[in-house]
Amino acid sequence: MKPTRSTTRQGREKGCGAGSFATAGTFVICLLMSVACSRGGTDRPAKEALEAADLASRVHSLGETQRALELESRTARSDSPYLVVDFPAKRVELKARGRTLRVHALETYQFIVTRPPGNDAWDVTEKKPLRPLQRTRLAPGAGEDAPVDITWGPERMPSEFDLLCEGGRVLEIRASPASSSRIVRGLRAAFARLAEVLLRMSGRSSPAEGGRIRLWLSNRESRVLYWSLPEKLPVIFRAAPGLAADPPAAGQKR
Amino acid sequence: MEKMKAAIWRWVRGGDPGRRAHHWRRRASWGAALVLCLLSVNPGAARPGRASGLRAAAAEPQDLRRLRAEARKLEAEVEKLQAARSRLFRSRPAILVDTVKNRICVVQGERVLACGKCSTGSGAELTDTATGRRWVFDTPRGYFSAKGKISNPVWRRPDWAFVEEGVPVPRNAAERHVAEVLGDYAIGFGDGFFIHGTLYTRLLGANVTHGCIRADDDILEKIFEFAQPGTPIWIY
Repeated sequence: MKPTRSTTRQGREKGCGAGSFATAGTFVICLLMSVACSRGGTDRPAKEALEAADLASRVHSLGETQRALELESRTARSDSPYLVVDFPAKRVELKARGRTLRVHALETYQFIVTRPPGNDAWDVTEKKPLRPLQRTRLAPGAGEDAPVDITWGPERMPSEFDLLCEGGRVLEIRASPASSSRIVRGLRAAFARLAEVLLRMSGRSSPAEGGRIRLWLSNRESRVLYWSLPEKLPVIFRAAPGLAADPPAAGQKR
Repeated sequence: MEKMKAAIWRWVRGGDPGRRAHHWRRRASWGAALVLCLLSVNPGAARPGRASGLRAAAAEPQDLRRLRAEARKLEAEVEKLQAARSRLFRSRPAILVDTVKNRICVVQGERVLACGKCSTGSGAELTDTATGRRWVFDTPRGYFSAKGKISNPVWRRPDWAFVEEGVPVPRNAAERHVAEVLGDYAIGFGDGFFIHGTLYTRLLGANVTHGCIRADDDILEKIFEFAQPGTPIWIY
């Protein structure tokens, strides 16, 4: 007997339904198996990956520390005091033969016309205040009768000055009074950058002259720093992690 | 869930529940299932990013071993360098003068042997109106070394002392000598600068001197005891 169309269709419908169920079932089983496989299989590699990433970062950081210590050891063999600008720790240390004499908190810093230094050393040849130094003037003949000025020494010092270094490089020390907000400081930095660009365009300043780094300290700290520093001394820069390897663009503020 | 199931059915059957499923749709379903299966087994292949990068980095256990060994080696190196740096500060006594706090200390390596009050340069200036000569009363900063030490020093007054007094500078050297104003001891560190005692003890702790370092009697005695020619002096 020839099967009727309806029977055939029913049979096909049945077969088709079974096939579709099989497809869906296989799909679900595969999915479940693969999820199970991927869970069990990725646990260890993920741990290893994390450990490897941690170790790589630690090796990099230790390498930086090693280079910084080697540089400092070379500088500290001399008796001259030296300055360590520690960008990662945000502090400026005055040291002699590896011993810290004084620590200044570094509020912020800015690289102007220079790439951020890695572990590097500059030699200061002159400290130059931005405005003429206003020293107390003693009157000749006043002698023993003159009232003794017992103003704290650093109080009379400038809070903004440049440390001129060999190779035309300049380390600028600037005061950021506690009263000035981030906006004011940002505006000042932007103005300084604009002035620098204008100077460069007018040919009065060249980016090849060696570079400038600006350090912002509190008003008190910058005066104390000026008061404490000898005229000539080496400055060591301690690179921020990843700074030397991947320098941001010049003029970038951190 | 039910809705999703119905939607999948509809897609497999071509939208009409009465129609038979197209072969290409069935094959496509199988293919999709297979691709999904493969992707879930190796999800990193579909997400080229941090996960796959990490997987690649950690794929080799020898990489981990190498990194661990490198970290250990660097740690040892850093420790060695730190120890070497701490040894750089000499083991013999040294004098540290803090011109901000006006304190003077005798140290030996990491140990502080003695500390006391002192007075350092005022930073003031004096100009002789007659000759135009100018003096700045700063204590020099940086590294120095003791040149010699004397007890019961006699002050040989320099020219500025007379200008400051408003009296003529004497031609006879003997007229410059004044006893007792420098205290019991003086330790010279070059260019006419001394660490010495003072009569003006009330001014200890202030920046008032003409450049010399005036020290309290107690600490001066200890400095005198420890200082030898060549003893390092750091003024900051």
